[in-house]
Amino acid sequence: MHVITPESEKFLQQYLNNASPTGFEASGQQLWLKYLQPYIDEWKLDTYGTAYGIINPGKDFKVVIEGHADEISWFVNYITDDGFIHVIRNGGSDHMIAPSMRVHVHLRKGGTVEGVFGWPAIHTRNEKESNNMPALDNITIDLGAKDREEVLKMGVHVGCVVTFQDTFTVVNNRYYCGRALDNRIGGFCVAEVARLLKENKDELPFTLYVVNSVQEEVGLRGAEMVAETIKPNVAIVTDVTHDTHTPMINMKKHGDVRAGNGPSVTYAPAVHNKLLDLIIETAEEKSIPFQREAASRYTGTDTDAFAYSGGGIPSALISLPLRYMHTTVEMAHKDDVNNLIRLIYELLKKINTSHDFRYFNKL
Amino acid sequence: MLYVRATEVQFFFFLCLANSFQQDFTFHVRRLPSQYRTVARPALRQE
Repeated sequence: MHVITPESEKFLQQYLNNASPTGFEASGQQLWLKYLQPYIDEWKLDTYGTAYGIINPGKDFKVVIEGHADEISWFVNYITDDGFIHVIRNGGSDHMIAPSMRVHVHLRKGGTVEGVFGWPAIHTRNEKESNNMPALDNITIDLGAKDREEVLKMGVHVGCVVTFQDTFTVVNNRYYCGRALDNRIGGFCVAEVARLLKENKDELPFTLYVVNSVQEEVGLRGAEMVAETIKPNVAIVTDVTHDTHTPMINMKKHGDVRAGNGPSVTYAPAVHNKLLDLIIETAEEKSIPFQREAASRYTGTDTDAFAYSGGGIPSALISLPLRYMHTTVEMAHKDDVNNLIRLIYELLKKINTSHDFRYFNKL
Repeated sequence: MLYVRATEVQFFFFLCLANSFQQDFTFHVRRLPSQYRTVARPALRQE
């Protein structure tokens, strides 16, 4: 059963093609809120840019559904006299994929400058050097400038943020493909849940917060902040996880998750067992396919931030299997995206305000 | 999904460990003078 409409897919394309680097998510948040606005009662924005829509405001019991809005990127860190730019990571950007990629350098006054990550030609590398791999200290951006002065005249300076230019495509009419589906597709999914609730005129017994957090890629920071602001009773987080069926991934180490087989639920200390049971019960009742994975000390998602805030918030993680995470060709199966939206939507209808999440209440 | 490099994870645990050692150290430094006062001084008074 597909719930995504052509209009919502059009929004997804627009949302993904807009750059939303960590710490600079404002334009993406505006797009997201404009799409979400018809389906919510009110919206808020915190000082660091985390945006959230509120449905059925004013109830004592508060439920959060959350994705994160930021994408990995680079910072201009050093400009050589010859006008080449050395970078540092803003999030978990992958130096291995940088050579020969086209980039946008974002200017503080607005607008962008186009550039490329260059790489020496195969002809010019000797045998010893041909073993050189791209590394953070040897990848550089070329803006076509003759020297440092010209780079500065373009408006580029240390601290400008850099994103790859790649845009959204659909592969084989089956996979959404593009840059930083991680995790703007999560923000898309929670917005779609809000749309379904509105269109189906569902009445919720609690206040629902539809949250798009910032700064996840540098340590779950936006979620840490907004968890303290909202102080929810329950948090349902969605992020991406690895499809481990593509080449060169060790399933014994990274688990067995395949794109197309449904969203993946995580077993982890941060994930509340009763909430997880409710998710699995919902999936089984509604015949929504799902997969399982395990995490130990941390899930590496905003689930950790919500779970360990406010004295402990029952939290759970529902992940979207993704191929080639943190590259410019991340791929998510359309069926999984649809099923993820359905699962969160159906789960919300099962949560009631009298739910006691304590593991036991008498001896 | 957050990416944390192995070295950063090691550094994080090193910080936790260092913090834990520091707490132990602080505990002993703070307790020793107080133990001296509460145990040794009454003994002196009795003499």
